[in-house]
Amino acid sequence: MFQATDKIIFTGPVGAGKTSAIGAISDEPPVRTDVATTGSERDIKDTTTVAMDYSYISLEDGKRIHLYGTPGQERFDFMWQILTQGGLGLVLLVNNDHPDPVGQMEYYLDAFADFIRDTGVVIGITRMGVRDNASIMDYQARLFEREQVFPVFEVDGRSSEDVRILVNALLAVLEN
Amino acid sequence: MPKPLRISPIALDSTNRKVLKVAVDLINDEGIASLLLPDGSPHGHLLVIDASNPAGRQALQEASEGQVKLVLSDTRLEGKNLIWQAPPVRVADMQELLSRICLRMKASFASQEVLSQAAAGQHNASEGSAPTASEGTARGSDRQPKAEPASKAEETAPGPEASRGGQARTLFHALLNAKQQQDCYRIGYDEHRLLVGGHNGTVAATSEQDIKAIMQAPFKQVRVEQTDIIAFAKEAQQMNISPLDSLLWQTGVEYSDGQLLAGHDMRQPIRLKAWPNFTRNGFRQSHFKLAAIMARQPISLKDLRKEAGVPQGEVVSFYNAAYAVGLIDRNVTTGSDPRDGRPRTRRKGLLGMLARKLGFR
Repeated sequence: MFQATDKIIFTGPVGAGKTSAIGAISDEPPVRTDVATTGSERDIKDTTTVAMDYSYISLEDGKRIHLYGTPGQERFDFMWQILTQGGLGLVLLVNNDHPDPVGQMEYYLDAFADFIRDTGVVIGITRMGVRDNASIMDYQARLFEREQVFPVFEVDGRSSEDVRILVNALLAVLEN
Repeated sequence: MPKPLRISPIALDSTNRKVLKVAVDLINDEGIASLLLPDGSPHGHLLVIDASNPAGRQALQEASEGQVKLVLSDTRLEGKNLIWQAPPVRVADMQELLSRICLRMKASFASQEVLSQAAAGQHNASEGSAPTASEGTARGSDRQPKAEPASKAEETAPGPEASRGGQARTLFHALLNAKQQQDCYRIGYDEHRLLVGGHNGTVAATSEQDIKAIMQAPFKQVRVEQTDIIAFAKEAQQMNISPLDSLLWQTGVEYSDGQLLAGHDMRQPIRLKAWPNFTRNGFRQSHFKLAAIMARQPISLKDLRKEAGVPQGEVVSFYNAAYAVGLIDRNVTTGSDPRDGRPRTRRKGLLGMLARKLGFR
């Protein structure tokens, strides 16, 4: 039976690769709600999501797992609570090109703390090697300080294999 | 020189003290034997001083020139054996600083020892001398005999975790030994050659095929020869450098024989400190389940095998590899399951279908 709560949420700052990641594993290209970016984030991307990205993965027996991408800009953070209601788990993508990517990770972990506590989260670090403002060890060390041992992987948001591995880790967290 | 390296915290506030403690624990797990002395002790090989307060500035003035000093200060400072770092310092930054400083100090001490022995007409210290059991482990003991297969070992004082160089059982054990002892090895099989820099966490090879050939070779036919830092640096110049931890992970998972490292105990509670980076390192499907359980709460390998339903050899190989790359926390006691009270997913059937769709089951 179809349930609207069979969903995985992709979140993270602008330009982290949420839309690409959804597109890398979904059965259909994501439906996007983009407009031209205004403000300081124009330098990062020309367009930004204002409501959500949406696509799905079809399973056996016609079931679907819905994939939702949240808006990256913090002024749309009211959508985050709406989108996570009843969700299975969270995929947090962080752009390593950001001046303080570890701080960004912390911000989102705090913003989604209740949802993460009730479900689970995996963290994908994108754009490593473009400008490495942090190493994987930096993220791991900060999580260790916070006493949170979440999966943190280097990912290319366009790579189906990378995103599948990330989601598989989320499934392991949820099942165990 | 005496091991481990002693580190003195001087005039640090509570945050910096905590950062230093975590960083020292992390470098110990990397295989750099070091010991954090009590606050204010001036006797360490390395002094970590907060010069932003009067007590720190006084300690800096009183410290001998020969002591190495890592000084936290808003104002840039220079001096002999002085490393300046502007605060605030994160754990990862402190870990990297300590790692570099400690490795350089150890190399310097080793050179001095070689020179003094050479001057006295003795053999070069890098040729064939067996290590004491205290080398390579943070809190090692001379009481331990040579490493036994760890599945039979009691968890008493930790012993040497791999036999030295050519006496290692597998390539994994030889690499781990190099890392823990900070030794350099030249490893060969037929015409294939691999250099291992335990002192700087790298391996050097002409090609991937060389590494692969050595990994797949019967280890009894593999030559392992100790070399020194200078020879390593010279020979590695024409080769491709890659992280030692990557090779340690791969060999730990594939070639550690499913035998638990010496000095480790299936009954000891352990915990994962961080997930392996599966997108860039090899994995088996069972590793996701093992990592999820080990990250959740302290658990013994014996209980992990039961809960995960994974063969013991696979559990042990995963543990060996994770330990070798510094992902295991052994200083834990059993605690309550953090899942208690948290709603558990009832969607296991759905999640299983998703995993199959993604190609993982």
